[in-house]
Amino acid sequence: MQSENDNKNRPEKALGIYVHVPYCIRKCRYCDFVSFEKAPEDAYFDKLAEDIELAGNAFGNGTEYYVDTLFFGGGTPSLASAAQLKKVLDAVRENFVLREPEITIEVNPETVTPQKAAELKELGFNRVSMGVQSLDDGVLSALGRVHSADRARQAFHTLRDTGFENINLDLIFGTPRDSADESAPVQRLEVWRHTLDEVLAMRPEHISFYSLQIEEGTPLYKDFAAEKIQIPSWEENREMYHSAIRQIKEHGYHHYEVSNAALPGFECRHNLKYWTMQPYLGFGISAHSFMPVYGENGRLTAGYRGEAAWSCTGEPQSLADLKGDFIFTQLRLTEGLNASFYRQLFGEEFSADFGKALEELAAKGYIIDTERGVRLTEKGLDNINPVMQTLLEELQWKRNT
Amino acid sequence: MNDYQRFIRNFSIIAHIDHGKSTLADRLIESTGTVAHRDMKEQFLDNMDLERERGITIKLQTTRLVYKAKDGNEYILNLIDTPGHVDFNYEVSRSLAACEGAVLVVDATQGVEAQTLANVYLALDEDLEILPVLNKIDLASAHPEEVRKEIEDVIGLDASEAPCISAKEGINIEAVLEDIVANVPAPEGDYDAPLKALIFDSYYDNYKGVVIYTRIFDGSVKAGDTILLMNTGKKYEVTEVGVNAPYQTPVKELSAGSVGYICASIKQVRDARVGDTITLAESPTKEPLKGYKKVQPMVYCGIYPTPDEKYENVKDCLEKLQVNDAAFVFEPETSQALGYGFRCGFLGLLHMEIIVERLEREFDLEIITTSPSVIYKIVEHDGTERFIENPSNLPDPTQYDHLEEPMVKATLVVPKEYVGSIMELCQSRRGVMEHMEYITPERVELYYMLPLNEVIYDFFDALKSKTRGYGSLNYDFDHYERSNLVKLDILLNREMVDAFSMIVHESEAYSRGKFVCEKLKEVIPMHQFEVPIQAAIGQKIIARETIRAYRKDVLAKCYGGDISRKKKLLEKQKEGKKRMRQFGSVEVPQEAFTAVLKYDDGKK
Repeated sequence: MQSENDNKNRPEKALGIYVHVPYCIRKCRYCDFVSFEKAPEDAYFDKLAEDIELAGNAFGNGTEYYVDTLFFGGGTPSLASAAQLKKVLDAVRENFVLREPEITIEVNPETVTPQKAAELKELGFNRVSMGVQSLDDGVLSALGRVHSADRARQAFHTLRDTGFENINLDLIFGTPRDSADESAPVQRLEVWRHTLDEVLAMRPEHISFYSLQIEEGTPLYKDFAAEKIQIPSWEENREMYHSAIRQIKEHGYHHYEVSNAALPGFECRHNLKYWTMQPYLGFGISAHSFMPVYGENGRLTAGYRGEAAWSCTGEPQSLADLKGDFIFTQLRLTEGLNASFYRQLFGEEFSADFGKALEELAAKGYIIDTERGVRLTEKGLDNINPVMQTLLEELQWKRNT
Repeated sequence: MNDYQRFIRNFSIIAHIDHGKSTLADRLIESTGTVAHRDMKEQFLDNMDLERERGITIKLQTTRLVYKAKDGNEYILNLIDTPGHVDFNYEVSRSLAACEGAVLVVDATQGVEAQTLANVYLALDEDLEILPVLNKIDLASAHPEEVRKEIEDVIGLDASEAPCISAKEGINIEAVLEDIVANVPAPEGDYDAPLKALIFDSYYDNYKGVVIYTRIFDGSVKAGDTILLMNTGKKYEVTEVGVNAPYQTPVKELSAGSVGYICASIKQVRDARVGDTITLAESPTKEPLKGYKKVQPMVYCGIYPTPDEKYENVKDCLEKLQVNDAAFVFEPETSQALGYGFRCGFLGLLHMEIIVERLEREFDLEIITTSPSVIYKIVEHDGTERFIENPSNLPDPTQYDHLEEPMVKATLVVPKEYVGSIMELCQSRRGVMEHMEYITPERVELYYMLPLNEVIYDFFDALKSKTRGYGSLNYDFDHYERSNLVKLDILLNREMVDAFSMIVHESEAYSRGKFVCEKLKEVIPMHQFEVPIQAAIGQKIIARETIRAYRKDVLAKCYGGDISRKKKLLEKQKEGKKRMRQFGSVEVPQEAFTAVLKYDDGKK
């Protein structure tokens, strides 16, 4: 952060780039991301390349930024052709300085063939994030996934065989289940443990495990509200969560964020930017950017967040907004938030800004002090909504008085 | 007769909704060259966006056409358009009073409908010459000869000469014009008599004030005259007189027999009411024209600002609309659930929908409307009577002797195969059949006495649905009748929401209570806790539904795009919830207030 003398020839600020690819074979029943059920269109990728070139003027070659993470998310980015992906990758390479970049692409198992995997490798992707969600066909069908459990197993081996050495698998728990057995309308703990056991045996470098969210406007929401489907109770859901954390840790993984774990050294560098106030640019429909602005003393004075922050039209963030973002994101990390980083960014003490709320949360056993600041307890992780709410309300209350 | 009047024809076009009235008007304007083809918008006379979208005429328009007839003479044809909906019957009758003839458009694929008959009766009341026209003959399903016979049998008009036309395709339009010249009588006013003119429409113009549309029966009027409006007793100095050709064109004077507009710096449309008689203050005519009636609202509802909308904004916009709409009334009221707002009165449900839509679209207001209600009469123990427009104001039953509700005389025309289901519908809505008549072997006319309360909710939708769109309806207020009515309250999470209260007949309280609970369950999103929805009469719960609890862990996932959104969600900011309203701890979307009124096909 101490960037007193920016040297134009030696960029020293790391930047992340996110590219959204909004196409899917079929939309999953729980999904509320922006995605269309059609073949990827060339015009969309042409526009991405144009936008990247424009952003390059402000943050690319010849500026103080270099790119160290690049992430293709979706949708299903692996539906795009090699030529479409190359168009975007070339635009990034031509307009930005890349330094030891982590280049991730999200893939759906259904799209992974030996040929596809080889293409992705050839294009320069060095990390693959695959949406497996479950290795139980009853769960997969209830979620509306296009692939089977077998297809997912096979896809993983294909990726390994192609030489990918940094693979993430996405998993979902707390789901309904399609089953001939009427007595098991939901994903039971055993089913979930079984999926996880199998995944852990495959030894991916990274695992994301999400509690299913039933989002308004999705087919799943409708069915749930109409009582056509059931999900595990909240208590069962939490049991699945904690059981997963135990299992993952036993296998040597580092549980580093609410829903993420990795073998040491394989934490997702791109996603960590979201949780540590680092700059990133988003391209494509619904993508978001965040560009912090620092004063002369290295302190955060403002920031831009929004759909087109790279063109500097994002929503300006006040200092209070940024403080909110800080706790909102850093507390997601299991190591908790870093009080000296807070002091460095804002010139104020974290404990002074949130004092009363911190006491209240500590008394409830939701947070605990660490050497560097404060972190969520296991109980706090289960109650992350009210914890964040309490802290944000403290901030709002301070702002209003 | 003054000689100039020989070449004037004043006429209206009347029709059932969708039979092609506005399209014919467009063709007449176009074929007389009144509007250059390039300026022709679809349905020229329907100049509100809303009217064009819904394909109905709300605000009537008038246009002066100049037509060179086959006899070699040039005629002035004053076309007075009429509103096409049952809510605006009185306005239709005044427009007709301004004419000597009416072109009756009948859809050759559909035949005579309820509003065809209603309009014909109105035209006959005004002694008009009625010229039937068979429209849509370009369609394969047209059966003009049967419809011609139907007009003769049902209405008793000679339709042997009725032209077969297609307004849409412009077929045979000239025949209509010739028919008008030949068969609509010329006006017979006395130019030298004192001024006697009828207001058949008025609207508010930002620059000119109220613009009155008028038909001059006797005498003449010009700028500088002082006019007297005989029923309201108000006097104004005329600033401009003119004709619509079709754009407003000032003229020196308007004289007996002609149709045009008058401006006189009038501030509110209600000061120049439709049906009133204009005369000169200095030399007034002895008797005003017959038929003046102050229109009364029939349906009321509450209009409230959403939490993001300012009360003053809503008030300003309601005032602006009122300036232009004499039938629309409002006054302030408060609701426990919704805070400060307004109780608004309308001619009918369509009128209400139109005003609400205009508030939202033209004025960009964020409002919540409550269940519509009719005006109930409370008869006190001592026999005195009073009226209430808001169901939440209904006192405890011990406080009064009995309640009365407004009844309407309804005419329904339906194809014979649907008679059974329509009789069932009317019966379920507490209708009493007065008589029924086969107007043709295929179609039946039913006369019912129905409570207005039953008509305003979803009757029309039910009728359309049960007759596959072929049934038609017309109704008029008749009288008040004693009735066994109860107040139905709705409780969300055990708290009463007064904005949902409605007055219903005791016999329907259970089914309506159940229906409302079910609807609310559909539209209110899940909360972290179970939300019981209950319907109650007094202390007694008569129906119940429960919205499932869903404990949502919004923070399971949080990446770049989610940060602001999820943060805001937790900060309880309003993004994405603009149209939600908080009742206790329950969030209710705006659509809930209208959803409870919609007709449900599954319902008996």
